[in-house]
Amino acid sequence: METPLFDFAAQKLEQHTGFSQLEARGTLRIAVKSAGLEPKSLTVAELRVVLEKLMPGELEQRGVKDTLSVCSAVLRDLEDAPIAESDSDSSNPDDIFRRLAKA
Amino acid sequence: MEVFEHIGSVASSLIYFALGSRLTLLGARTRSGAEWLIGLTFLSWGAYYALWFLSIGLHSQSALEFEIFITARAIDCLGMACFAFFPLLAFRRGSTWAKWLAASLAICVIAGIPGSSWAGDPKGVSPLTNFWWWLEWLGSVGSGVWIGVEGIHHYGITRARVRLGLCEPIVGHRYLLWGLAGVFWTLLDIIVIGQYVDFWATQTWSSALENLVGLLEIAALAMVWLVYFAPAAYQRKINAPAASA
Repeated sequence: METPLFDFAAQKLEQHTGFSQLEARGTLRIAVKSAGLEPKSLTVAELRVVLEKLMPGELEQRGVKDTLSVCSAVLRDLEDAPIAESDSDSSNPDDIFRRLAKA
Repeated sequence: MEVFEHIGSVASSLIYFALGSRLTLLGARTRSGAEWLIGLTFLSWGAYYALWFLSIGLHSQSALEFEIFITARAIDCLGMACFAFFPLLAFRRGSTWAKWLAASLAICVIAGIPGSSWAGDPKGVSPLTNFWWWLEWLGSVGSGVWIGVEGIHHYGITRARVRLGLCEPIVGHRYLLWGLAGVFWTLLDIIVIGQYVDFWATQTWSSALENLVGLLEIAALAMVWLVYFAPAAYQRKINAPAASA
């Protein structure tokens, strides 16, 4: 189950690229996964990095022309919309393993 | 001389006590189940190794030696049950299959140790005739394999996050250390089978295998030590590529 943040970003990607819903969600999912992240626990900061660093390459592979402006548009939409960020409830593995050495 | 086994046991007892105390305190502070569970696991392992070592020193008083050894096994049983749930809370929180796996492994350990007593093998030294021994072993080796797989898997997926600046290199490295600790614990459980088979055949404990077990204990302990007490220079070395990027 993806977060509302993932759904929102996929919807915006669909709008700015002309992808179908399936294509937009699939492309975003691939980019998120290749960043070592999970769509079900994605945060705004993580999504921003994915859109800036990985998404241009993914879009280029799928024949999108102006990849940077598409990503910038999605990022702008992200900043303008109040999206409920997924729980970063300090129980994800990174947080636990970050804390362990500070016991 | 089973020198490595003795060094491994004393070192294990002291280090697991130290780690267990720190982690249970951390768990109390953060109210996080993962820290609690691994803290209780390490405390119980510390107690197990201390009592086991004490029982060796009491060979001349066989009744007391037996009672101490059984107490050690009971404490180990509780610790192993906590250990089975650690990967669930640390890596797979909310996953249905992980809940089933953790519960199954814990049941194996909890049923296995009393079951061995019921079957007339309270010390758990007769795997060839005692079905319960295998249940206990399955719970133990299963938890070790799970920790190893999760640690190495998370190390793999964290490398992408480290490259993108989403995770500190030292956190990714801790996954690797945990994974390696899981591999050593698993190997230790496998070697234990060889030990018991050899004991069954010769009626003496093989020094070579006991030393190998001791070395694996020390290796696993070294990994855990580096997770929690890594020297500053070591941490700087791991974090260096990210700092220079």
